[in-house]
Amino acid sequence: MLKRILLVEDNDYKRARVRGHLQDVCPQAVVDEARSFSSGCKLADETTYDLAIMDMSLPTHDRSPSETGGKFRALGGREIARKIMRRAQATRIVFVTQYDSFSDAKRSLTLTSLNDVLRAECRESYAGLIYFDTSKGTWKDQLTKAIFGT
Amino acid sequence: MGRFNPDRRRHQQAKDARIRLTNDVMVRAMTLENVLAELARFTSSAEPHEFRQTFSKLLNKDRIRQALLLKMESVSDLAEKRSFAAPDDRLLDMYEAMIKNQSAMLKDFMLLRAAFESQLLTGQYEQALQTLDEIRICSGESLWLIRHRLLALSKAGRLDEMNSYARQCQEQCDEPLTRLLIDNFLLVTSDPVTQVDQTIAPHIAELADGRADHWADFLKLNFVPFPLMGKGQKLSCISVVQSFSLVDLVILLDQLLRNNLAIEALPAENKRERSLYELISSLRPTTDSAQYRSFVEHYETGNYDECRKLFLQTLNSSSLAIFGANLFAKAVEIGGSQDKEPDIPESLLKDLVDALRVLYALKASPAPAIDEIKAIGIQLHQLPSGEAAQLVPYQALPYHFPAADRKFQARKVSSAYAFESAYIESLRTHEYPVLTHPYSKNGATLPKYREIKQRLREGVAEGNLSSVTSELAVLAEAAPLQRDYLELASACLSSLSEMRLLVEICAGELARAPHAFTAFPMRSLVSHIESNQLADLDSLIVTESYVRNIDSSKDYVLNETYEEFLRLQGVRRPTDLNLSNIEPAKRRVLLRDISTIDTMEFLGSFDGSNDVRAERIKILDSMAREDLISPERHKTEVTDILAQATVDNASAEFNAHRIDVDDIALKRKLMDEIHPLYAIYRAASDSGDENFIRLTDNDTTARAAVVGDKNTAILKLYNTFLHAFLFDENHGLDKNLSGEIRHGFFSNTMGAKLGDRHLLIETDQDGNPKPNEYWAQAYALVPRDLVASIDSNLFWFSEKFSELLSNAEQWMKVATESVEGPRVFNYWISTDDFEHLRSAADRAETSEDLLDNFLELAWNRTETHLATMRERINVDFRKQVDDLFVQLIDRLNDAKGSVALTELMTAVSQTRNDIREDISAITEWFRRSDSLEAKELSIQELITISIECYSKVRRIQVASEVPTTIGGILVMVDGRQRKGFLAALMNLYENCIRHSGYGTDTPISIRGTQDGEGWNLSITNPVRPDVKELLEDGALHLAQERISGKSYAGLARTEGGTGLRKVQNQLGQTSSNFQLSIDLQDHSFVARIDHAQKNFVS
Repeated sequence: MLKRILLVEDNDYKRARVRGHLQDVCPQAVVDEARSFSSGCKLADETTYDLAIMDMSLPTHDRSPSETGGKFRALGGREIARKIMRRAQATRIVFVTQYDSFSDAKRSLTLTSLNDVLRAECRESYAGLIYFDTSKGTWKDQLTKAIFGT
Repeated sequence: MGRFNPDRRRHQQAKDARIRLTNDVMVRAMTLENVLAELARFTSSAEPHEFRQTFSKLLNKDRIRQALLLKMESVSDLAEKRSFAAPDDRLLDMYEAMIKNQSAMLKDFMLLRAAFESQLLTGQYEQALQTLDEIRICSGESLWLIRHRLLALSKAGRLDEMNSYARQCQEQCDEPLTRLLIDNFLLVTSDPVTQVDQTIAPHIAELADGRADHWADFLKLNFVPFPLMGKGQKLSCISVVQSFSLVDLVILLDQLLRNNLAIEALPAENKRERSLYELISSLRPTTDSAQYRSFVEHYETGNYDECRKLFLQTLNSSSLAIFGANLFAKAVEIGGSQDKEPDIPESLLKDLVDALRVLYALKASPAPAIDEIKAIGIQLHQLPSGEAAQLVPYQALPYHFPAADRKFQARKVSSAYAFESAYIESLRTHEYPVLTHPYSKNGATLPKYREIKQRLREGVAEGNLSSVTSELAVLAEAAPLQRDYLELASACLSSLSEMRLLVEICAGELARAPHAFTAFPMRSLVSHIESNQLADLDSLIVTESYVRNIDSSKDYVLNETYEEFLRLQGVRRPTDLNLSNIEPAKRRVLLRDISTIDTMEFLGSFDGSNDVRAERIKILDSMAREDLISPERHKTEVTDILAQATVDNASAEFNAHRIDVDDIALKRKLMDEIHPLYAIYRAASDSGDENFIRLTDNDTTARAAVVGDKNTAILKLYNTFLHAFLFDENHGLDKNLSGEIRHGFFSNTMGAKLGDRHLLIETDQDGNPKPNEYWAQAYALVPRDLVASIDSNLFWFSEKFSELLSNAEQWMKVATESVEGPRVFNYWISTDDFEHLRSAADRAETSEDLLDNFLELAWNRTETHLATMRERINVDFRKQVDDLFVQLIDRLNDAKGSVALTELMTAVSQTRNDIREDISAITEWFRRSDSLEAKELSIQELITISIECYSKVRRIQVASEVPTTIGGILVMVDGRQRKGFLAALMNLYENCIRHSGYGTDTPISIRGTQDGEGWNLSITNPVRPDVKELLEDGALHLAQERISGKSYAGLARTEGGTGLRKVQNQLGQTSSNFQLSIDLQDHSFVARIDHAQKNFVS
């Protein structure tokens, strides 16, 4: 049973939708939320979670009226996941992203190639890469499957 | 009636065509078009033996030779040329017959081509042009001839003639493919690498996307030297090479077959291709390699004087010159400064040698030199020496490029030249060529270091590590070039799988000579570090160099190695490290290059941006104290950090404005690359004003291709800058557009209200709509078919809305090519833009000035695009969304008839109004985060902000008095102006702390007074007696002169402008009425800012 879940997401709307879905499917779980790469790192460092739900692109720091958030990390979620893996924490990791690719930049990754990279890096902890589309409900089904491994 | 038999019909067709083609009278009477049609019929339907027997005979007829352009008399003939569709084997038979038919002419062509090649390489351009005239007489017109005449005219500086010749050719053959090729020939006369990367490669990609692989391969064959630029692969354009004259066919076929035969994985049954390739090879003149062998012997025996002399004497032999360029450049570098500069005339060969010397000397960034060699490779692409030129970088930097690419290119070179070279053989076959290729003389005559090298080879062969390490230690002292030692160490230790030891040697060298990374197998080293999770300082140094110079996508290895390194040292921040045991050179790299804000942010242990900045400033201060960085570098970086803190402070509260490019970080990142290019620009000759080549697709806004050294350099500079401005992953514009707007934020914001009010219909995995449970429950009592109708109308609406979002997201993409499409952020360079670039470059006195001017141009264009984007969102998109709502309301009204459905209709109507508001908010995203529209603040407010910000970044409490008024007047500062003003204030505080003698305890007092029409601010701090003495002894006078720019303006500019001079510049950029002055009053230093009017004046 999932007891503790880490949700790292900087977009308020998306975070609320994901949290709402978590309340529906695993109401007993404690969900810790982080809004940036740094706060995600700190939580992941302090606690071993059963599940981490990670946005892919994140600001480095929590945004506030006096903080722009610093560098925008295109693959910030992946960076946190690698940290979790290096610490050998028994955390399953699922990515929920609206990322497709970065325009014309030469280093761009497609969703498919990113999925391959993440699967290879997270190995048995990998629980999936889900495309979050506001107009479709498939992400909820996929997230449920990822959470319960069915 | 008999059954239809396709074979019989084909035989009949072949027979009919053969009869018509072999009949002299009929052939003479046919139009060329008909001749080609009959030939095509015959080629596609004849049996193999029939084709071979007949086709070569047909070629004896003038009319048929004319139709096949065996000798093209005029470029206009290309308009009539048609290609035959037939299997490759049949085409190869046809080509073979054509080549054999014209072998005498082709041999003459090859001979003259060799003469031309030699003249072109050695800068004898007028003779080269004459040789091209002879080639025209000998073998007629060809695209090859056009390409090389354009190149020779360009090199000779006859640019008007070049342009008019290109136009004339295009007018003669007004056919799209020929025009495209001639356009591209022109482009590669100027800045070939950029043109191939940014103009030709996108064309190739488009063709490949459109499944026109033959044509994509054809363009590659003509312009892309792979594997040097792109991945080596089999080319499938055998059918396309027949589209031009026989000379072109032979040139292209020669390249194509050489490439395909060099692909190792090809099946062995390619005998047909091989025999044809051998036929073409037999047409080439033989190469006398005796002089080359002698030249190599001189080099190997340490006879560098003779080696240099012989090279200079054999310049007329082009292939030898290219092959010897590497050793010659090394011989010159070994001679060092005692030798006078080698007497090579300005030429491609000289450019090549100069680039190689840079690579061997390890003293400068190798990137421009590698680009120069690539450029030469592209320009010589359709000459034999082109293959040799493309091998040069692999010879010079054997571990910098993948070994498979080097072997592939060496295979191509081996087959292009009919002479043996032991070194090329090693390059072709061995993983570590330096360990294998034999010397041409025996051991007794070799110099000492070559004897060591021999012993090292033996040690490696025996797997004797201790012998290898001790010999390497001796070689380190004995090698005439440091690069030779490093490469040999790389080869020996890699070969023995002693990567850990090699990491240590590499790190030590990089700490002393940062450009030495090209001498090491950096990919292998970083792969070893990553897979073994090494986390020591040496591994960090190697990884940092790799990420900075070779592959920035491996930044995660650097970040993780750094985090682990700190963890193993038991600290969370670099300033907590005990560095006493680390040698200064490595300490410098650790602090200066590795412990940057970017790397430290990965640690995730800082409380916000200013906390990281404070840590970085602390590191900079400690380096300055230990003389690990120059005072100028320290000041510059601290100033930049303060400026960035200012920008963030100014923009954080205006999150509505999301467009920002980090100018400061971008400049810092680009400076290393721009500086040498700018030096080339300054040194380049100005070839005049009329050097535009206006391409034919559009007159006034055509993409500019410019020829002439200065013009080429400026385009290269701007393209380098623009790519970073747009696409830098950390600081570029696309980061905002894609990361912060397009990917999620836009669609989430637009969709949020619809979702909240249950107006969106979601779809399942197969795209089928899911029932809207909310309305089904809300209207449980209404008829089922009406609920279904609500669902279907909302589904229609959801899909249409999604399309609108998707279209709008297309507007937000960046384009650098002039392709038709919806993208608003278009940055392609027109000829008019080029005038602005030239003017920006001419105005610049330093490379930093140039970057500032470029930034201004790029921002001007971006502001225009942002205005367009706001217009599109606020007008077009708003109308589209509103229309969609109107349609939805109409549909729902039709569906519901007299049923009220009040909640639903209210939800639709409220959402429609809410979304209008959201569109207005989104419109504001498309402004610069520090735009003029930002809220105005008073000077007093800005002083308070500057003190807060400075205190956070410096991690000190600034003891300051803030004025409550500026002499009773209220001065307001708008968004754009306040950035510079805040930065100036913070730099003044930094000046107080740094120079008072009291350090961070320095009390700072700020006073504002009205002064006539204007006002002034005084920032005062006490100074220690010894500081006061220094100031009175001339330091104050010097600083005053520096501010006024009388004596130190140049210095300040070249250093990027630092200290008080920088403050003056920042104030000047904010308002033209500012004047900074400094003085000593009693025991206090006073910096006074005077402003001649009340309000700021831009």
